[in-house]
Amino acid sequence: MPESWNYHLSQWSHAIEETSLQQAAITTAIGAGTAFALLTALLIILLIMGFVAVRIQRRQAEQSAKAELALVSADALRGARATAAVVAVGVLMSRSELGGREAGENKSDEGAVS
Amino acid sequence: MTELVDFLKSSGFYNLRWQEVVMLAVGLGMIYLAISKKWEPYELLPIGLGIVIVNLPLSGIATTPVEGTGVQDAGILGVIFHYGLSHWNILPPIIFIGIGALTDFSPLIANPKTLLLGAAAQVGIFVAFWGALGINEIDPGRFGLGEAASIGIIGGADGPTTIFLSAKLAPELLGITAVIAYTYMAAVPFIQPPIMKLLTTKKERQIVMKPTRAVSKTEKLIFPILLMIIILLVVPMAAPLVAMLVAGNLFRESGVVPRLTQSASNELLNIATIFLMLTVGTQLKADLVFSLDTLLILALGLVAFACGTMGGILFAKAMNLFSKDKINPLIGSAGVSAVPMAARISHHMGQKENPNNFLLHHALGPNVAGVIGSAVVAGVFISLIG
Repeated sequence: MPESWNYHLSQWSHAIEETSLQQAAITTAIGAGTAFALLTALLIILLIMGFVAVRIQRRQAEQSAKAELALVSADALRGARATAAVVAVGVLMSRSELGGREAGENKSDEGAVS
Repeated sequence: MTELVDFLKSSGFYNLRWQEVVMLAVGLGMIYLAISKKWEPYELLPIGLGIVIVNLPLSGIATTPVEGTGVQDAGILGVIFHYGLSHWNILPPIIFIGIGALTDFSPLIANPKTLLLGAAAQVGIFVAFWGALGINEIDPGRFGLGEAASIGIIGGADGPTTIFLSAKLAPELLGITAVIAYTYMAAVPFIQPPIMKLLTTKKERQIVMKPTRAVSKTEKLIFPILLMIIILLVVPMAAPLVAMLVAGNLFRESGVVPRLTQSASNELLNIATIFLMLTVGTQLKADLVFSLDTLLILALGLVAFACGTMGGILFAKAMNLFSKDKINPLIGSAGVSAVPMAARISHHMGQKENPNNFLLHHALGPNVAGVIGSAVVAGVFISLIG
């Protein structure tokens, strides 16, 4: 094999190695970079999603708490009304009882007179 | 008499060589480990059986249907290998549907920072990739770029991804890379703990992480869809793995197709596993295994696993320098994938230091992120080298 052929062959194989090394370096840079960038992008998306989700959950919790509070206050009002009604009825009944007793006493007084 | 001699010559005994005897022992050893030690039994049992079958001479069960093959000359496992892997490469994506149906993204959604640990643990892939190329310096032409990528992806610690990439870029290494990946995944309890102990202090191992928030169903539905759209727009070549993973996960999270979820995570996954593992085992013929390449891949695979583990742990430690809520660096090692084994190792290591520390839920975040990360890297390798 002539000297010049050997030289060209060695240059050629060297060139192939260089190319594949270069491609390997590019593959590594793109591979690692893409994986990291994509997972970072997903991280950002998840952070935003989490922020929104937490706010929505908080708002829903607040709304349900308010609704519960309203329900409780309505219940309390109803309860107070009921109590007031019971008290009022009680008062009225005791008054009428008292009135009846007084009327009876008056009657007996009357009888005694007659 | 001649007929008898011919018959004896056509028997397996006559054609059995010592290499095949060794491979039979290897196959039987794997079956033993799967049954008796319960080491990755779903993988090692069928792979071991495949090794035994293919190394019994003249069975022809793994003969692939190539052009010119006569009618019924191809063997059943050869046909499955040809159409399931080498020709169409559909078995790994089918397995990914099942994995998706079994995957819960909640730990990742609740603690998104762990995504970075999954990314950092992919460093093992590139270390082994360059290691394989570096061998070319000593022995020129041993591993091309495709082979180096197939060896590197072992560091992703994800069986289906390793098989998917090897079948595309270096089919001749498929059997050996798959077996090494699964063997190291089974050996995670032995490989990772010494590295985890070496790279962390007792105080770091005792870190108790804040409980994660509850994740809503809407988030669980939106995340996989966004994940698929974003990854496939950037790395379309990762579609077979990522799209199938998301499909399985949507079945699960939607809650409206329980039969599909059930089929994906059971019947489909099991059938694909049987076909895939048996055929992977049949790729381990004695001629292929008894070579320097195998020993080198074995060594590089170990380097890949170790470097991936280190990458995850060191990145977790680095994050602690800037983060208010401290991360237990033990969960970094789960970034290598090996779901859920690596997460369990993190949990057990944490509990050894502090019995009240429950790291499993936290470690599943980087674990799942590792699956996504290795699928992305595989997609990039196929785009640039395939």
